Amino acid sequence: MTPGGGSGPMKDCEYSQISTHSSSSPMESPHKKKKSAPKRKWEVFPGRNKFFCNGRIMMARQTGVFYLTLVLILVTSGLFFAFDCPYLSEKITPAIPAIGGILFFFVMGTLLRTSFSDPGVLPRATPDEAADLERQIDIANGSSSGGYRPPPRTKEVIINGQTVKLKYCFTCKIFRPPRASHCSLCDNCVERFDHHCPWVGNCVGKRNYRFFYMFILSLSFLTVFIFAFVITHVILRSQQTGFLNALKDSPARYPFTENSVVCFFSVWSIVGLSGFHTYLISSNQTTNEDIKGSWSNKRGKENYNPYSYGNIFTNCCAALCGPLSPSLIDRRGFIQPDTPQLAGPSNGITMYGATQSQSNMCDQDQCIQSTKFVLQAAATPLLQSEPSITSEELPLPGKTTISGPCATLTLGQPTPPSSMPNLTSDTGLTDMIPLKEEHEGHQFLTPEEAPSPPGMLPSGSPITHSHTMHVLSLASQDSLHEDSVRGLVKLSSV
Amino acid sequence: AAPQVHSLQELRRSASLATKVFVQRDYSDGTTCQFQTKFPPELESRIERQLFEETVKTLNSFYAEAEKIGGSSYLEGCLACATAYFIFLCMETHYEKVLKKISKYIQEQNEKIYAPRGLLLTDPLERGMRVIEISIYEDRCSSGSSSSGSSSSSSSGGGGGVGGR
Repeated sequence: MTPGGGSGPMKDCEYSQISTHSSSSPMESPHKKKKSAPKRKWEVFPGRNKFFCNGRIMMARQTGVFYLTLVLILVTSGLFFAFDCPYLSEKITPAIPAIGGILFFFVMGTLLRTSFSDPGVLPRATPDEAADLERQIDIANGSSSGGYRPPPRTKEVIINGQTVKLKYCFTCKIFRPPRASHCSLCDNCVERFDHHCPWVGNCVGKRNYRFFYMFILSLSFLTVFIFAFVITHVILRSQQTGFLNALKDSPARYPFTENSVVCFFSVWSIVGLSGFHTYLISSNQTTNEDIKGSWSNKRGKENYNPYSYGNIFTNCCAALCGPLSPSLIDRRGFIQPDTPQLAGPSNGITMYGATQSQSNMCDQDQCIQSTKFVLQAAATPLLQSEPSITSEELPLPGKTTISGPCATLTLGQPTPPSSMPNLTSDTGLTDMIPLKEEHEGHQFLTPEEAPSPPGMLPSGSPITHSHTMHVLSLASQDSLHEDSVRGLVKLSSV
Repeated sequence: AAPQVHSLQELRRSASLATKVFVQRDYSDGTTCQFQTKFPPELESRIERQLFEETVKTLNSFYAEAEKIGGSSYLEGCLACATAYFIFLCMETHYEKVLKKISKYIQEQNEKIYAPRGLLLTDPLERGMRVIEISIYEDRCSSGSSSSGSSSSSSSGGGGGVGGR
């Protein structure tokens, strides 16, 4: 341990940095490496999505049907351009392949935009936000929630004279804005949720609805176009040589069959879908609302759609040409260590824990003492689940501060604590310090958030914890658990 | 005695976070982005009501401008549609431009008004446009708990010192 502790009293963060960097613990290098390769937010995204191109592309988990869509479109169009266009451009006009080309380009562009963009996913609530909401709900309910789940939480708002119920999403820990819905396939709340489309491999929501609509619209035109001209091709050929001969001689008889069959079925379904969505757009409804009959007259005479602008033209313009809101999930941003999260309840534990607060503990002994406190406090819930190990009774400053370190232990360091049992108590302490440093990079739950169930981890947790019944058994990785317990037992012998 | 007024940077270093207040969305006008102008009781002692309301009202007007459906937004939408939305690869949308203005405004408000009072506004964009998060910092310098030398007194007085905010 370095004697550099006494020098910088006010800059606690510098002090702790000195003590960590100077010690030669094996934990240091993986810790340092982690710090130098910051993760992007998409890597720790909690929903069930797939990301490509370093976070630029976002899709649902099941993308098989999307590839089918791509193949169908590419093959059908390819065959059309290869076999029908040469004949038709000669016989009729070269505008046919030109228009076909434009349509194809449009279809592909809108399809890829629909599939790859963020539909309007709402990021999950930060722990602070969730805690604040819980507090308000408890106040509203008039009782502090015990172990059971209180009745479904709803908020009512009046929008343009219509009463709308906002539901609380237990997964995302937010009250869903109006028209938002939680997609069970992607496990995200999506704004203005329309539906989850397997054909495009993504949800359709506020941000990509217009792309989706333009896609199905242009695809209907394309399929009708191809279908019409394939038929025209065969008719023209059969005028020359007779129908059956046309089919026999033409090198395009298989493509013809394929094209006609695919196009025939597509025309009905895609054109039908376009028609349906045109209706939805003109009345400013989502598929979700239409299916549930939220604004239908059957529910009551007073029921009307509060989001509609009144006339069809404005509704269409708003949906298709309105402003495009930005993605709220910032996929390519780097995960920033937050500014200090801990507030100070009055004891030495959190004073040490808040790295950037000017602490009065520059003294080595004080350091060790308080670290010991923290660790023992952290150890207590762990030790509770392992009755064979005795622990000292400590007044816990707040259970959530404990779950903080535990959770972030599992978050940040899947393997390092295995080094802990090998160290003597002294170096064991300094090993915990770099862990704490890393912890500041994750959000701590402050003791004030104690009323909320401590099961609330920072939402960016990449490791899915098994939320067992006992909320404090957050350190779900058993080896990690054992190691940290062992390490802490050694420390308590100091 | 440490000065009460902090710059933004100093605030982060010398104070500690006490609590956070969340200003929720106001949905009475539909799904447009507006925030409630109701004054949170926790800020009662920290900032004048009028200053706070002014900030929220200005933010609301910015968001209304961003989401405005009118001539220029139609033009942008039609142009984008005509190019199969490829134009979004190179062009910044109107909404994004306004968001940049908003973030500048918030930064400026923080520096001029909120940080000197020990408060910090967080851009709603970082919170999914759901809340305006206002962090309330407690000034640890002024509480006198941070005297560097005396370790023994600080251990017992550490509790008292922090408690003596």
